Amino acid sequence: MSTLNRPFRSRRARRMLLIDVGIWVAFGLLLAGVVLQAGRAGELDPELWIPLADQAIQQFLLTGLLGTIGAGATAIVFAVVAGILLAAARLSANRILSSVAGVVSEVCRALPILFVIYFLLMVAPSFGLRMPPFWQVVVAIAIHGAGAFCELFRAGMLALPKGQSEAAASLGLRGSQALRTIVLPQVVRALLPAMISQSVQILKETSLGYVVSYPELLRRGQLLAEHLGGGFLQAYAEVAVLFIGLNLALTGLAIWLERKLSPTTSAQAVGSSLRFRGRA
Amino acid sequence: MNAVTDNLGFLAQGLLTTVVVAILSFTGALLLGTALGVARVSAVRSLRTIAMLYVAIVRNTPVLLLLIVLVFVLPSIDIVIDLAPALVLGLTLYFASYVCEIVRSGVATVGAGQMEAALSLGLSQWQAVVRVIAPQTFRVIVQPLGTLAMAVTMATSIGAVVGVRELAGTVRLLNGQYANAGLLFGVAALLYIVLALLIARLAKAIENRVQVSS
Repeated sequence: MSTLNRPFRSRRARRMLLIDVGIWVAFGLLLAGVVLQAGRAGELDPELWIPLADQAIQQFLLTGLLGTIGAGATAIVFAVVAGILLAAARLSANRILSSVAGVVSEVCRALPILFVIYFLLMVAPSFGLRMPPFWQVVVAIAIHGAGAFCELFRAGMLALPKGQSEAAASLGLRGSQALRTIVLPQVVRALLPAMISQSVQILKETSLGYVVSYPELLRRGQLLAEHLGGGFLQAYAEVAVLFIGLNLALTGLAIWLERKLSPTTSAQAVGSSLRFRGRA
Repeated sequence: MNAVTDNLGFLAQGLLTTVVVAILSFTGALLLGTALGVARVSAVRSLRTIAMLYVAIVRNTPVLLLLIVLVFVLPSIDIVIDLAPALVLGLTLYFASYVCEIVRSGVATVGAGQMEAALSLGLSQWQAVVRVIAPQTFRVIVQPLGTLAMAVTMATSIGAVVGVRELAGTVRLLNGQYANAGLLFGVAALLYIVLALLIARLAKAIENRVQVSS
């Protein structure tokens, strides 16, 4: 049997190797084309890239990164808390409460974040509601995030076996006590990777601070490009590296947590399937 | 009331732009993303690596940064794309990374035993993929794709930042001309909600259709 298989296997292996090499060459050519185009436009001149190493510029971008993290972290906290409350309301026995929470969550998710930012920027002041750019960004993102987290927690709570809350009730815990001490700890643990994915989402969304001149990373990149006299490629290349680095670190954390937490409740399966649902 | 009634034409045009951009972007993301997803689970290692790199880079980049790269950075290397096509391209590239992950996790839910069973029944590799793996994958990914379609529709609004006159951009533009534009925003908000509801309905209908009663 093995002698029969050997020539076939090696021929197959050789063909796979050829395919691999061919694909890498094609991919390399594509990249080379882009680099060549940039070179022809004079964008690869070292003179244009050296300023990026300047310490003041590094600091300028890093404070932008802090702005991104600050707005993102604040929005995440509000979105998680609001999401848990909305999810609890949706699952409550009170029909009216549950359907109101359903509508609120749908509306939160149906309004584009940028649209809400424009509303806070242009219309809200005429109702006497003025807020600094930081809060315009945070509120808009948190509204959207609350809807997303609500769906996440609802799915997580539904996936938790009913016996858990029944047992809590039979032990004499009130609804809110059961939620806090029995249901939430298990749900949060199962959903942690999905929550981190959603948090990466929120960090990316803070880039909309660009339109209200909130000093986050993208806005800083734009200012840097102007400072460099139109160095868009150079400025945004560094911004992209910082964004991708930050988010990759968080995504890595999510994957690590998922592995670490794998043998848990049935809510786990829900958590991992939810990770892949896209949001803007 | 004037702000709305005077500009029904503009609003309709904005809505139409939003819908067209969303449909084109979602279709593009579906095609590119499925190709990437298939590459991600294929037997060819180079394809797997390239698809993985693509997702790692694009999925961790804000979509607005992607759009700004297409609109401001590409011209600096002598590649100029019109605004609306740039918006469609940006959304396509961005959401393709999500479609890729959806397809990958969808394929992962189909057990390895399915492939083995299909092959042992005498189906060719291609037949097994098309007739056994793909239909089961599709059933699983319809729901996340529906959610994604909604996300694409909402993300079209970032076109307003670079001057595409979709719904949000139109409202922003008209806002300058009226003292009280609250109503304008209200109408646009309603339109967004209606769009979201329509997409949810459509996704649910498709989901029900492909569902196998157990």
